[in-house]
Amino acid sequence: MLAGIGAGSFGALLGLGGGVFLVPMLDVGLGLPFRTAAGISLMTVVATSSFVSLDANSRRFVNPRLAVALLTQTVLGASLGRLLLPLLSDRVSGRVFGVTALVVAVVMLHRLRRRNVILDPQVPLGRLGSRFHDPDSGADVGYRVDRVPLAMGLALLAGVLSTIVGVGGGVLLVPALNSWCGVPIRAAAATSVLMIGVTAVPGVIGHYVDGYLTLPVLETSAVLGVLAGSRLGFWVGARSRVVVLKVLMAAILTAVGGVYLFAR
Amino acid sequence: MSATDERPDDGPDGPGDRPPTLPRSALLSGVALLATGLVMALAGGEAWSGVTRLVVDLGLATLVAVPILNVVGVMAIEWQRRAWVFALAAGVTLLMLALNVVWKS
Repeated sequence: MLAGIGAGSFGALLGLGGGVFLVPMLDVGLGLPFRTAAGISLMTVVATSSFVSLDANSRRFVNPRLAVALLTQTVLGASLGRLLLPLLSDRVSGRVFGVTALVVAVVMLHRLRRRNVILDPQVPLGRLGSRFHDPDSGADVGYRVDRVPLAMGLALLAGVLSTIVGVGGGVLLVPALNSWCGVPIRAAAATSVLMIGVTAVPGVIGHYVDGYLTLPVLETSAVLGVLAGSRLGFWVGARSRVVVLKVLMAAILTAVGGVYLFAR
Repeated sequence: MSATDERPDDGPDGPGDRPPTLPRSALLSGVALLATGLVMALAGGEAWSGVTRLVVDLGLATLVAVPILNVVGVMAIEWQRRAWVFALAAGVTLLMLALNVVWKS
């Protein structure tokens, strides 16, 4: 349950769902098989997504059109991941995840000061752009979504990774939307958190059907812990600066990537 | 076309601050079932294992319904706004999720 609280806090704080933190905690920390850890993690991703997506603070930043445009790709990717699942060993899955985490961390730090917001209300935002009240500047801001085909390709990859390594896909989507597609980090995180719960559903079904969700005490403890942690994380997130969130995310991704590349 | 016409929605940008009732009820029901399952697993031991598994499974299924209901909500909003492309995208997503439930189950 403590692992769940920690994962839920960071997950809600960064729009990731918490899987990127919980899988190493269960797999490396508690010694569970990778697939079992991934299955439980995907359940907690659904829980975090469900909780945060219904939170009034989060809903202000959600871009539902961007979410459904990318969901077609992430759910397709997650379904393809179910096909790949039996073909990949735990070791290969872990290495793939480690490389992805490190690449994303580098991109995140490289574009640290990028905020992507448009202050001029007359600037056209396109079909996928949106507006929200920015707590950092205290003003109503807008943003455009650039490089949509790139976002869709990465969403497909995020969906595949979601099922294979037990994360929601936010670990890839949030930095990609923020750094490459022009979406402000708060909007990217809130939109991602709505998406990751849906993306995790094929993986949850796959792990359940394949018999990897058979530990009721651990499953319920992790999910309830993540829900408690989500509330804490969201409270902290609303009071944090964007740059701090980005540095924190990059540091955690580097650590997780390092564990799966060099310590496993 | 003016800048106002290029706004992404004719209505509010986001889905609104107030959470919809059905997903919220599903979340609360799922949490209640999981908490009950945890207490049963800790207190009942092997004797209640079948019932405990059923309660936990029901809680997990209820929780999984929340993101699906969120997509249904987005589809309904986009349908009302006559934004057919986005309503269709939500519909395709729901179809793929349905296929995942049927597949190997």
